[in-house]
Amino acid sequence: MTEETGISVRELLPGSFSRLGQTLQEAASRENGPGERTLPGFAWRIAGSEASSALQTALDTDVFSLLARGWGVARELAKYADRSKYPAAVTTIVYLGKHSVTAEVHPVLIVSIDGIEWPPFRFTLALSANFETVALVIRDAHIIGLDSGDCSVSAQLRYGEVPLPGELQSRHVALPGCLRFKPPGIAIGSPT
Amino acid sequence: MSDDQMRTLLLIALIATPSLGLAQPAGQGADCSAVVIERMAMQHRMPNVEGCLGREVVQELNRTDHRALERSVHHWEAPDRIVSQSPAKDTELQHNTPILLDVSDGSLPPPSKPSTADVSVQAFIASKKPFLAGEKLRFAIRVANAGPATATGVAAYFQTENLKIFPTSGECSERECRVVDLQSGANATLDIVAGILGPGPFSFGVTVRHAPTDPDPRNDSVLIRDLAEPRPAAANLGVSADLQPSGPYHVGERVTVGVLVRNGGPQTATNVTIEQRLTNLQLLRLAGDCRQVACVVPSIPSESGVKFELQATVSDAGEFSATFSARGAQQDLNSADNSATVRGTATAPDVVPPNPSVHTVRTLLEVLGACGLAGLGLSYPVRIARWRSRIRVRAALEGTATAKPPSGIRIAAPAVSLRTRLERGVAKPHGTIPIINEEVRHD
Repeated sequence: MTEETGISVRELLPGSFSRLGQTLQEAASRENGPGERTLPGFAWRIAGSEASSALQTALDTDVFSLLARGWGVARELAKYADRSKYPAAVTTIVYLGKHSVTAEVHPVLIVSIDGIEWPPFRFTLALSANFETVALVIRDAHIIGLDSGDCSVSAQLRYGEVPLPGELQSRHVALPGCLRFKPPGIAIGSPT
Repeated sequence: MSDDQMRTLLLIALIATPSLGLAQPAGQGADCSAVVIERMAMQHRMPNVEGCLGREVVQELNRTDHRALERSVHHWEAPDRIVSQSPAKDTELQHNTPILLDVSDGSLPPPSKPSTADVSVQAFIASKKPFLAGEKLRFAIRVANAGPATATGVAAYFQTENLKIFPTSGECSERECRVVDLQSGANATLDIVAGILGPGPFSFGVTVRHAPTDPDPRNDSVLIRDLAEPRPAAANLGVSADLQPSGPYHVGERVTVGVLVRNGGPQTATNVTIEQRLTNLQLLRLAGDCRQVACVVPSIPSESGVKFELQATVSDAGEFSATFSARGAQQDLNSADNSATVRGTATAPDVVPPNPSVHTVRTLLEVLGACGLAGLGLSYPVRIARWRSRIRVRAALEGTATAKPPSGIRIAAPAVSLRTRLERGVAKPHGTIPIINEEVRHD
């Protein structure tokens, strides 16, 4: 999605999820019911160990390209989708004050153990960013990048409604400027 | 003067010439070449006849031989208006066309109407056999009036045995239906619904009453007798299903279907087989009273049911469905509701590239050394990739284990394959976003 923004989702998360295997096993047991297909616990711990790094890899994506979709639906920015006022050939830098944006993504983990594929495990990663300032680069009704900004970002991973314990981190980020999203960028006025 | 002679309505027959004005309101410019008056008494020498037939007609009549007319006349009562005429008004007349006039002076009461009406009733069972206790029957009733008079205040009265009548219209009650009036030659039909109260004989009788007098009262009533059989063992299974969440759906999403199989009775349903058919859904679990794709519930008593819950994931983009059906050992009184289907349409997930990432790991258990006996097996500390734990190695090693097994034995552990994808969810701002400034750059 991005050229370089300098911060990926995985950087907001710990290096491993210590209880992931247990979470997977509990979820598999709960959702498949007693007496259904089961695997020994150590198999799930193996899966959990590998799932942790698999999730980290899946979440190796830029934080702001995910958050920027929140600006795409902001009514205050809807006017920048009006090409009669903001022609496609014109780039507009819009400076925003203090506000917050949230975004959710769902890492989906499909585990196959000894050839048995289990139903997908759909996690939820909630991203939250509190911006002091940020400059959006808008062109042709799309947010094509960020110029500069100052914010704190946090992320929380959960399975269903249950957060994975100890996985919440908040980090202050100073946007260096000239961050560009993958063309055509984030459409303004499109639903998320 | 006899009663017949006293009748107000008289019949006048005129032989018309072409373009005779009598076809118009009688007597207006008529040019009668010959007039014959039948059944006319000339006692009154046709007073007021001008007002009835018109001056010209009267003049023409006066030119005829009244004595000759008198011979053919039976009655005459000062006609002062034409009640009806034939041919109809404005009809072009042909030569020698007979013209019939009903003439009345209004001074005498109208002719008495026929004083009897022969009303009859017929009835039959419109439902097919066998007639089962507890079922509803339809009775078709036909009331006819053969005349000659109009039957007024016609009503059909019912007498039943082992039946209960369900009124079907405002004109009917459990005991009677009112037809009101029935002209001569007319008939009316009634559709009566009745429930059979129990097995055994039942009867349905209908009697019609009306005015005026019926010359043949023998056909005024009818009685139907028949036999109701006891109902066979029967149940009424019904299936309902509820899909949650309500959508929209995406590939890989878990959906839950709550299913209720209910028996409306009257008998207990036994050996109820419940089957499920999934399309584009991968079954995750079944919980509740039915835990297999095809399960058998031994019995479902009348007015009760069984519940179960199905969880599945949507396999691919497009429509998915789950159909549930139930059948028991008994006859089902309404098989139309024995199955239920829930449907949805799933869209492909909005995936964040790169997609998918695949991790396949074959982990080896590395037996580091014996740690002593535990139960029937040997326990060894093992290392599984980056994870260290103790597991019990049983049959696989028992045959080869020695008192001091060599360290470094490697045992293949389950092959774990992982695939991931990242789906986009909701992104939104919170509160008002203040726009501090905007700067336009022309490239």
